[in-house]
Amino acid sequence: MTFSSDERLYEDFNTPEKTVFDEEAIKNSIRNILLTPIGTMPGKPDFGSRLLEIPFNQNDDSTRILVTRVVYEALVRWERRVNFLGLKINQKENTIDIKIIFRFVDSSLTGSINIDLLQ
Amino acid sequence: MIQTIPFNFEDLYENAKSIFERTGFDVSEGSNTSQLSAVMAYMIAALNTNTAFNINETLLPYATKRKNILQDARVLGYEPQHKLSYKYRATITIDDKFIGYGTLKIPRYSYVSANGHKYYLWDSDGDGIYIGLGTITIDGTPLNPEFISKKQGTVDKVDLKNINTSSVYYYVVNRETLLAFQGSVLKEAYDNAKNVFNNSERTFEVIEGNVILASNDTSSLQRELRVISNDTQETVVTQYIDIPYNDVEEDGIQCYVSYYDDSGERQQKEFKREENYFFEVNGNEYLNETYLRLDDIEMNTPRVYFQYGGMGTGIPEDSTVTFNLLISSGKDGYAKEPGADPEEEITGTLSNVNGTTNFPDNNGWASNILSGSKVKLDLLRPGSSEESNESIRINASKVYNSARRLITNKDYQSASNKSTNVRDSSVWGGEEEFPRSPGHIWYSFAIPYNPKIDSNGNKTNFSNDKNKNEYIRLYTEIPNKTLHFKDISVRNQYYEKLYLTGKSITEVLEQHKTKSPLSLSFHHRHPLYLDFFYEIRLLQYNTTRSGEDIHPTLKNVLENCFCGDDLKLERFEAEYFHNNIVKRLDYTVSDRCGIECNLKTKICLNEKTLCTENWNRKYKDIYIPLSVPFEKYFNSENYLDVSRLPSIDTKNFLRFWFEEPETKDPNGHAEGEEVAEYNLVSGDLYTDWSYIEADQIIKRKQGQPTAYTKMFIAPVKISMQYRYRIEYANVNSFKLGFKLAPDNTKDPSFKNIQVLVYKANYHKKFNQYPNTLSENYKFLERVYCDGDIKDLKEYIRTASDDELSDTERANLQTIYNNKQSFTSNFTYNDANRETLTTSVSFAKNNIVEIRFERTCGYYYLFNGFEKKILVHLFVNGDYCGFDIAAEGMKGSTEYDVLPQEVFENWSTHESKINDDTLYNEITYSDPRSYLYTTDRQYLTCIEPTGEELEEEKFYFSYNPEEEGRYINPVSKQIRDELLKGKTFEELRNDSRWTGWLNQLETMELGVQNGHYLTTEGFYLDDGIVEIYTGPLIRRYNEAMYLYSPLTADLFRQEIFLDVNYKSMNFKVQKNVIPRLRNVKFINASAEEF
Repeated sequence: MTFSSDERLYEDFNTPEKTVFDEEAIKNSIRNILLTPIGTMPGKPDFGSRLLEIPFNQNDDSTRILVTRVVYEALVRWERRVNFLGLKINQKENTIDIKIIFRFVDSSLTGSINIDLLQ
Repeated sequence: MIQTIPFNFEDLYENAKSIFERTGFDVSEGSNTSQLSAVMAYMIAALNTNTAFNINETLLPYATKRKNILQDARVLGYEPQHKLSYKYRATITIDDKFIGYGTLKIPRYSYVSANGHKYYLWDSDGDGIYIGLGTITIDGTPLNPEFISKKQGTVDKVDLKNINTSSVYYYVVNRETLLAFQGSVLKEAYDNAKNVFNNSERTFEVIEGNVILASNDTSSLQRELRVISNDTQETVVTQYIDIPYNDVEEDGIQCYVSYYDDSGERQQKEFKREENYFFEVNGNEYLNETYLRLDDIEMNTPRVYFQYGGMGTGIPEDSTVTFNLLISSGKDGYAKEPGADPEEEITGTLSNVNGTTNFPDNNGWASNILSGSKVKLDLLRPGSSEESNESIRINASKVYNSARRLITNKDYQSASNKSTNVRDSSVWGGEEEFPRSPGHIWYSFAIPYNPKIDSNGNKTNFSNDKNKNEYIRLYTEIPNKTLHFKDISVRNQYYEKLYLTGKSITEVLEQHKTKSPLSLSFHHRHPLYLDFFYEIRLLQYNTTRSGEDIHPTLKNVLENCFCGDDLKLERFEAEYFHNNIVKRLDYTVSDRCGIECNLKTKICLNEKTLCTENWNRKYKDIYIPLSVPFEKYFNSENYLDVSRLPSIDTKNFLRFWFEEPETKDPNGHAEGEEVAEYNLVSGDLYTDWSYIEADQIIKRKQGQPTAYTKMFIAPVKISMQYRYRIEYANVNSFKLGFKLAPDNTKDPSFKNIQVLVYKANYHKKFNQYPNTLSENYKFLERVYCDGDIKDLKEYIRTASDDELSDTERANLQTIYNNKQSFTSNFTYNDANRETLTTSVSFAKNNIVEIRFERTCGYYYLFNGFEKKILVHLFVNGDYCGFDIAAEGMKGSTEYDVLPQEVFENWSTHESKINDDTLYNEITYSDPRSYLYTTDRQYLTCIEPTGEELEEEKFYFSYNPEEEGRYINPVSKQIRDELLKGKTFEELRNDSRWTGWLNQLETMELGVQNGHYLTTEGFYLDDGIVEIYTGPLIRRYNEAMYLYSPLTADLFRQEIFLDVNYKSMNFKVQKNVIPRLRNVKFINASAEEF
């Protein structure tokens, strides 16, 4: 059951013209998606990514491919406001630093966020 | 429309998001707001689910927890049935050396121990039961048998069974006095005592459980109404008492109330349980003397009310209440191991309530009368668990709707279904019976399923024969050995899993009696199982699913349709559409395998299905109600097309042969019986539609369609063919072993008795004798018959030269030309029709074949809206022709005979066994007879014969020659006269026809008095004139029963009646209930890969 705009249950909310979001909101969203393990969100068992499964596995060349695939799958599924362009991975002894590069769908601007995974 | 908060997670989530979105928050899937929305939606959805679940639990149809179901049912005034214990009839044996010891007392609460359980004498009135052993009393002085001696001064015990009655004196010391009696005086006194001993009742009812007497637990079971409250320390009076025990049997509370009456006297009364949910006013204003049992739902312990909801007078405050309890093991209380041989008797040892096994006589002369003797137990009623949740859900609302009154048949059904021993019931009133019988109610109870636990722990109703690719229903087949037992209680052990016991039926119906009008009569007919035999052929197996995989799957589909939740076909008044089954099977095997599904339906008959509702209990009936609601059985010209009706024609309905000839003594036959071997070659049952077809020929000529006829009645006949091998030369008569009688239809020229005598010494071995007609004629020596043998004529006409030599042909023609009249060469005397006597002797090893046909019932088609059919078969319980021989009916189809068994059969037969079983354990009818009551004036009456011959006019006007049938010339002449308008009386007075018509009446064997039934109303007798309130429609003749080929002993095992529906769409009626019997896969092993 959903409510149409003229059948509102609570009338005391202010109703702005459009939803407000910016670059920071999108980056926050990407962080939420990537750092939420699949199956942990109540009511939304598919939400999230498998990124957090990676740190405690073998850290070698295949890790790069694995991370790319996991990030790509999660963003395509859950974050439609950006196009995934690629990522840079800096593997050290106990850390994986990931820099995700994307382009906003509604503009030509690109952006990036860093996620550091520490073993 | 009222707007509410959404119910499920998705809607709530979307709703929360939309609210956040409208306020400007970022609600994309990864946003913080979205996470928050999800958590909020999840919590609300969980709350919603819990709330809905709890609300559902308050509604009986949706409740799932036992406690909630019990509470919801109680709101509707329904108290479910508690545990029921196994009930047995205990029979004790007493050695006859205890004749004269006075009285043996079995105290109340004595118990029989068997299979680890105790079975108590629970329901006796008073302090126990007393068994008379007789007393040797002379001149008012009871003598102790122990001290009767032959010599004065000795204490040698005399064997009282062999008292010398000559002038011998016996001495007895009695109370320090020496007495002397003459032998004859003593013998008379002893015989009197023996008479009492032999006639005393030795049986009593026992019930399984564990008795807890009040004296064993005084703190719980001896209670006062006044109790001191734990909270306030005040004295509180309640009109109920909690009994802190679980698993108390349905009738397992004995309640005694002790109080001071108005005059200050202490009184003790036994209170009975109030069956209804409320206390009824019974005229006793002071005390109801009843209590109400409502179990505590939380603790599952009984709570006994003396006043409930303001109803009931209650008991005085100073009363003391005492309880004795019976704790039940329910369905686990069987007195035998589950897999034990039913043939074995159930025995146990008797102990009194203190656990000792000594039962002295009342004089104290013998310390233990029952020393070493075992007690035999016969099942009266099986035990059961508490009423199931499913049953409560269904019955509580029905009982509420009926307000506990019994008016419509649905009321009776729901009241019956409450019993845990009844899975389903069918109830119909006398107005649905034929003839109509107002004031009577019929019940039929189906027993709960008895699934077995298989090796995987699953419940199953089938056993799997992997070699034959066949699934067979459990507990359906009655073993051969049951036939040996004359004792019905032993045979009943086999029926326990198929039919309700007599005691269980009685218990259910007795409860109804108190609530229904007094004048109603109750009858119970056991369910008639319509067995379904499926033959499934998978046209192609595929590589992924082998037979081992797909066969059980398909069987489960069928089992689920019949016994499971799908379709629920195994219930009364079920409708069956074959396509529904095929659709489910086809869906299961998928599009890659073709499937063929053939179905045969058969009614399973046995002694339990015999009705003893007749005026003479020896005359039993089988009533098979059928219906064809989805078919049209009239053709386009509005005449009946019998091929569209369900057919009951059954090949080899009666079968008869013997097994293992080599193991028996071939010379053991009885002297003078004259026959070495005999055999029932065929006993085919069929419906004779010829009268109706003939009638339609006439009606067609007259332009009268038959579609508006109210009722069609066709005789059901059995075609019998027996063979005998004559043992000695020059035999003139021999015993038949059955009653020989011509067909009791009016015209004896149809298919009369034929006796064919085959040449001697053709075959030594009886079972090698040729069986086909054309083979037989080569070896014919003589033929006896009153009419022509149609088959013989046909044979001569069609035989080719290759089959017969000229000599044989000539011989055959001679036999045919010189055929001898049956009546002039054979006699069967009226008093004893078991002997066949001939004027021309038989030779040794002659084979005598007797063929005859006889009506054994009627097929009624009621041409009404519901298109009902009734098949009524007459069974003679007065006659056990084949008591032992019936054993052979389950043997191999290669018939063979046992001379020893023939001898045994006939030696028993000669003493004229009557199947005089009371059948109390088999059927329930109160009154037992509804067709004829003890005053012989209900529905039927005795009428002089004569008027019914008018019917013959109609039949004689039919000329069967049109159908290619033979008609006797005399019959033809009579018909011609009748068609000219003469009456029967005129013909009877004409010397040309007198003999023939008298013979016709002779053929009406046993015409003593006709019994007439009315379709409507009653027979009235005002002392002057006899009046029926409705038209007479059917004639009952005792000959129907007396000479029926169906005898009660043949039903000691299963006999199948084929029921073939033209299309497999039908509805079962009354006490017919479908049963999935057999699932077989054809060619399965060969085609599997």
